[in-house]
Amino acid sequence: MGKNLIEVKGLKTYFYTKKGVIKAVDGVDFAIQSGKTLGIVGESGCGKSITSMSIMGLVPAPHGKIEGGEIFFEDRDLLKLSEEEMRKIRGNDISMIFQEPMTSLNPVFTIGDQITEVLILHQKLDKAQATKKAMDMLTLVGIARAEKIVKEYPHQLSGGMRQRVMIAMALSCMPKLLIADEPTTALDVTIQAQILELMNGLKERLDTAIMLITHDLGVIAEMADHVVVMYAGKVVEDASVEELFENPKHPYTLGLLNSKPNMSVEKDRLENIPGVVPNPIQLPEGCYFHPRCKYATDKCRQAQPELKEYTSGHKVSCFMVHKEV
Amino acid sequence: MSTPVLEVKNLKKYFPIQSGFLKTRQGDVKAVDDISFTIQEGQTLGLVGESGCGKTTAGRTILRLTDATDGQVLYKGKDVFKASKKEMMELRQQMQIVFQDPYSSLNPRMTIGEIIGEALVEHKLYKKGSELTDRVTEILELCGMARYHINRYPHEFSGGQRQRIGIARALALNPSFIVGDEPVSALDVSIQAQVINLMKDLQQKLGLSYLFISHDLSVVKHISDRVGVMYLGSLVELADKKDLYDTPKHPYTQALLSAIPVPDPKKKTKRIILQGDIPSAANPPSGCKFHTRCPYAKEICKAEVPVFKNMGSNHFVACHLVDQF
Repeated sequence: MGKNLIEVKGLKTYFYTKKGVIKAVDGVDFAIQSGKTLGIVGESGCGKSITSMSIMGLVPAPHGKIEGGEIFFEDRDLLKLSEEEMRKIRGNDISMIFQEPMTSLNPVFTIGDQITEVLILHQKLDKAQATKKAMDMLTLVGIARAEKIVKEYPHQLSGGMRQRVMIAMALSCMPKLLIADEPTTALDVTIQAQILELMNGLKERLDTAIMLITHDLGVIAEMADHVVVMYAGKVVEDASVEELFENPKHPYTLGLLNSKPNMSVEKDRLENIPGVVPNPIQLPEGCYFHPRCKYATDKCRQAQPELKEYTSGHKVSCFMVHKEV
Repeated sequence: MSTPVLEVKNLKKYFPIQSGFLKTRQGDVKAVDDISFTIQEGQTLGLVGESGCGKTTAGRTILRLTDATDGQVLYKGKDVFKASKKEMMELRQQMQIVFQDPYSSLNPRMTIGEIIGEALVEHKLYKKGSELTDRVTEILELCGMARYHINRYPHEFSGGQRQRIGIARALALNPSFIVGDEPVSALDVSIQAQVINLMKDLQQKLGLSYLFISHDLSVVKHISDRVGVMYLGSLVELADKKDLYDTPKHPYTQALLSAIPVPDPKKKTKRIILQGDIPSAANPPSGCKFHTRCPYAKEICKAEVPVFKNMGSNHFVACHLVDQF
């Protein structure tokens, strides 16, 4: 067992609004080792993006606040670092790919300007060295005419190309951890296949750890080594990818797996999870999932289950599952 | 064989590219370029393809929401493009559409009752009053909503509920044919399953025929009887669902199917990774439009446009090399 590159313990990120407190991330634990991919799955509003923002130190102030927990990155607690120290880590040791490649590139700067900016700032390269490095990175991510692309603006590129540029930029400082927030959601399937293959290849070559946030279980199955399933700001299941798909335990995970039309099995009806994700301001009593859960008992309505080990390396937060054991 | 509800014959939709002071026509974007298919009563035809392949334009042109450049659409034998204004009014009651984005397709200033009732009043089927309210309630309940929702505004609903409202609006006039333009793409997986099940239930209950447009091949497989694959404005393959998914004949369909991530970590499928992006529809490649990305392309593919021919049991393919696969 290798050493963890990053360890998140009891992370709590809350937002204070006029209507009340939103517990976007409420006591989340996970760890990632170098060269491994952790998949974080969940539907909109489950707190998966806020978790990544918290690691990057990008929680929007003053409404958002990290209320508790620790984020150990190479034995340093990121939450205790000053803004100055954090800036050295962000974009250098930890970098991020966002979902929307159009809105996350600056439209008034050329691709070259945007990649070299990171290199000049963090790696202290001069302009010429940085431009050379930028072109190398673009070639690495499979862009053929790198020397032309560095002079072009984001609007001249297609969606897939922009996402490659984002990846090139994120990888230009050889980060130890790459956070990819829905990196292929806005892309077509054939382009998605290209990007996923690219990310897998780069991970092996550079030994980068990847934290992959997505709602697509297919992408998780292809990419991840370990998976964390989130619901309403909490981790409901945590297991290796083989274990999760073979032996899913939490009713929510089961529901997610069954509600996706399967290409190999023909079904007349999709099993769905009734109801909707709860309003984060008025979370239900007890287990947050109980109003949508077909196995819910009185206990689920009153008390909140803890994330406990079910078998070695497979954690579930559900009363029903632990009763079976 | 039952009569087809919809026959599309050699449908073309070109958008002119104009430039300069005099707005001279420089060329055309061939969004839909000579497509033909039929939909039988009570059946669903799925139309898949990547962004920009013309699937949405095809749907809109069939409903005469934009005027076609050439070709014919017959609804139960009646020529939709030749219908007079009065005839069109009647046809519109029969042919409806559900849009992709449930957030922008509902007027934020109208209540749900007004949104659904508008068409009923416009077509002079009901006058404002209790009968109208009863009819609107009936449709809402059919779509899994309740009477008390009638006086609420769209912002009070979640994405899944809004899509139900969109479907209710399409159903208000008792249509027999509905175009679903990516109706579940903007929804979370668990909600997607609810809406897909609803659409299937309604189809059985009301005998509807669907043209289901989507980029998600697994969703299309689940809901369709027949599936057409589009690439750059043309249909490249059209077949019964089972034939298309089990024995895809066109290299593009094969690549598309292999690109979908499978939610099973043990199944490592052999991927066909297509190189490059989709070419621009304003300047499509000569011959077979797919030849620039096709792994099997030969000289003939660059020179001649392949014929869309029947390979037996109504399996149509447009490829020169189809006999070699």
